Amino acid sequence: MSEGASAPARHHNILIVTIMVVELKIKKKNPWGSFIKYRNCFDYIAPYFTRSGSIYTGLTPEDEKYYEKALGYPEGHLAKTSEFWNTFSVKVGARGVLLDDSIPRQAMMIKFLEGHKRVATTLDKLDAGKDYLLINREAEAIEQNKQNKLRRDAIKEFDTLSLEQMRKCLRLFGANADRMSNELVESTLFNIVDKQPKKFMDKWVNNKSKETEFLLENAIAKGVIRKDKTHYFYGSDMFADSLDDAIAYLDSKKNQDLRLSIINETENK
Amino acid sequence: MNNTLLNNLQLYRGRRFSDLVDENMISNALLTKPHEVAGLLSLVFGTKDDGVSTTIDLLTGGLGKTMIIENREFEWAVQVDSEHAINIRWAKWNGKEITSSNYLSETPGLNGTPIYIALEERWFGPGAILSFDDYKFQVRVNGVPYQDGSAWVYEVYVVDGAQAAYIPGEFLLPGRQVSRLGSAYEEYSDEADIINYQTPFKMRGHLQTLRLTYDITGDAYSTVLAIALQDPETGKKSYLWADYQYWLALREWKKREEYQLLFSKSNRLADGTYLNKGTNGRPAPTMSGLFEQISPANIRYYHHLTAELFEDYLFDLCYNILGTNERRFVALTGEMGIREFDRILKEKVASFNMCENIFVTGSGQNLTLGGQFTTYNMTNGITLSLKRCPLFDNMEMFRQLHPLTGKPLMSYTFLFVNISNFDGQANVVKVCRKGREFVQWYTGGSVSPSGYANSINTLRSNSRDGYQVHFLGEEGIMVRNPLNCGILYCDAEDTEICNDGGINIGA
Repeated sequence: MSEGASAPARHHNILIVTIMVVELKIKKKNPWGSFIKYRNCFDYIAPYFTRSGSIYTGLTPEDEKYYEKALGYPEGHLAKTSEFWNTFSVKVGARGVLLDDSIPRQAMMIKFLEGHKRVATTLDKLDAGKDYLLINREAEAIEQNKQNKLRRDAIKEFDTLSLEQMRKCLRLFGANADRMSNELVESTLFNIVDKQPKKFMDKWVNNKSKETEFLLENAIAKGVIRKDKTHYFYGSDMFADSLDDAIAYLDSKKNQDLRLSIINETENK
Repeated sequence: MNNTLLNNLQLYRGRRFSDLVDENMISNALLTKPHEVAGLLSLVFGTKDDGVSTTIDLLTGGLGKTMIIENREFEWAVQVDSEHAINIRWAKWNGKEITSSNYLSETPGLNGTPIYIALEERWFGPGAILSFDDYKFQVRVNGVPYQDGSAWVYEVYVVDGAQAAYIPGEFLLPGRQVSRLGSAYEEYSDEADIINYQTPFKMRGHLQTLRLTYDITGDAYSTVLAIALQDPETGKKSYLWADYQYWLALREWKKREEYQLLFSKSNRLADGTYLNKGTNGRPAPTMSGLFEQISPANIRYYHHLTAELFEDYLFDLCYNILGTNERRFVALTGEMGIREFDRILKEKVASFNMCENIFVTGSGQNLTLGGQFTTYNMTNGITLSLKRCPLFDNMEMFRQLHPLTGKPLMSYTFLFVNISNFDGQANVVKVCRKGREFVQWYTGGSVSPSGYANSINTLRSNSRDGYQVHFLGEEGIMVRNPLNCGILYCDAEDTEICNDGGINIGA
């Protein structure tokens, strides 16, 4: 969110005001009925107790003073201890609510919603714990463009892969591509890249340890290494208790003889 | 509690309870009257057993509000108000679309010129008088609309006594709405407005199979307890471990059933399949509980309850009551919810100067102070009664605590359900598969519930020294009209958000 949503900032005696209209939407669709809200029904987003036992209002002491003046309230009316917050809420239904920060009361609502625990202010902050999205369409488009670019980049990287690399990559996604036809390998991996571009970039393109990770996964699949929960065993010896540790162990110079043995055994099986 | 329904309930207390403690009484009764006994169990655990006190099961199954069906899935229709406002997709005047950049400078409809508005639905006929978001601005529909893509385009003219009248552009922007006021026609007219039918929307629920099992060893079957299981009504006692175990299992069954009826989340996916599968690969459906069915209705959060907030919220619920003057609500809540409710009403009556007469009784050295509000008759005929739902107070289940009082936050929750009857049908009903509301059986070894196997000709299913009892139920819950139900949550930040697990070690 830009600074326009809060009390206008002053720099060198120049008042900077950015007018912004944002939209508040309910993001959680009821999985049972596949709808957001029944008609004429609403959610009322209200202040809540913080861990310290005080009340979340979203306003700093400066904001409180600013909005008290802007809304014509007496001093202290918007303080955290004020009764004003007992009944304050932002009402939102299936249609969403537009809030214009050039209108003081709505600007205060934006301020309240920005830090609210149930409200996400960008698409990438929208997680399972957030029920509402407060976003302006411009920002939403920027975020969407970021995701589209990631998808395009992932597809470009996919285009550079050889079939052998594709098979290795599929192994990192938990699929055994050894007996798959070339066509099936390509289409299976493309589906993954298309639907999970970020995971593809993290697991393959930007993964510096992908060769070792592949070796581990392949060795586990062929029974050379045994994995029990998060522990990795070679024979009866546990050599790592997490994937990161196992990669570090096999990449370490002093363990190259073990690495070679694992490679040889895996290739021979 | 000043509520006829709940008073009726109290009449049942204990009267039928006496049958439940004698040897094999429930199992025998179930053979002949399975549905009646299942309802009776709901009643007993809902009224008598302080350890469970199953409120929802009581309000549905315990009062005979059970619907028996023959399939796993069930559907019902929810009637909504047929009158509704229609969204504007776009509006044009003088060939120019009204947008957020030009709406201030345009004067749509000036001097009797036509405005073209594209609406999302074909909801109005020729001659209809429509009003905008401010009812003072009205237009009349001319002729029938034509379709443009998925929108319906209406030619409308301003209805006003002045030639210079026009519709402010802001009411014609996309997303604004129009609704019907009436209609007007010329002499010898050939047109008429249309009637709209709002078809009820369909809801679909499905049943969930619940199961429970327990074992009795051959030795335990005849073990005598030091403490007797006593029927509070007749005083009859049973000292047998098997009876005690059976009673405990029934109690646990009812508790789990209650949790499911309240909090279960449906795992049915959009394509009709179920997310969870059992070990044999078949789907394991879960029902949609009361909280999930009500969640698309009115949800409000609070941190400090006031009478004003309560009234405001109940008025919101009333907007969705159709075709009845009944405005009687029951709110299920925990101990703290009841206390909060009492507090706000006492604060309210404090201003009436009537506390002394109502809350102080007795005289001299024998004065009593006290009294608790559980019913509130508000303005406009709204009545709210509270019913305690003991599960809301369960600290093992609801571990998030109120930051000031340290009590479970859930104990402050109010679940508003309209338990009135609509068209002779209960609004909240338990739904069960025919013959499978409560099924129980055993697999016997050396002993069965009726006794030890004493003959070589006795056939048993396994060689164990004991027997195993199984309970099964296939059930769900249905809120016929969830629109006038709601939830009021006391809200607080998660107090354990920084807990990395370390503080629980050794706890």
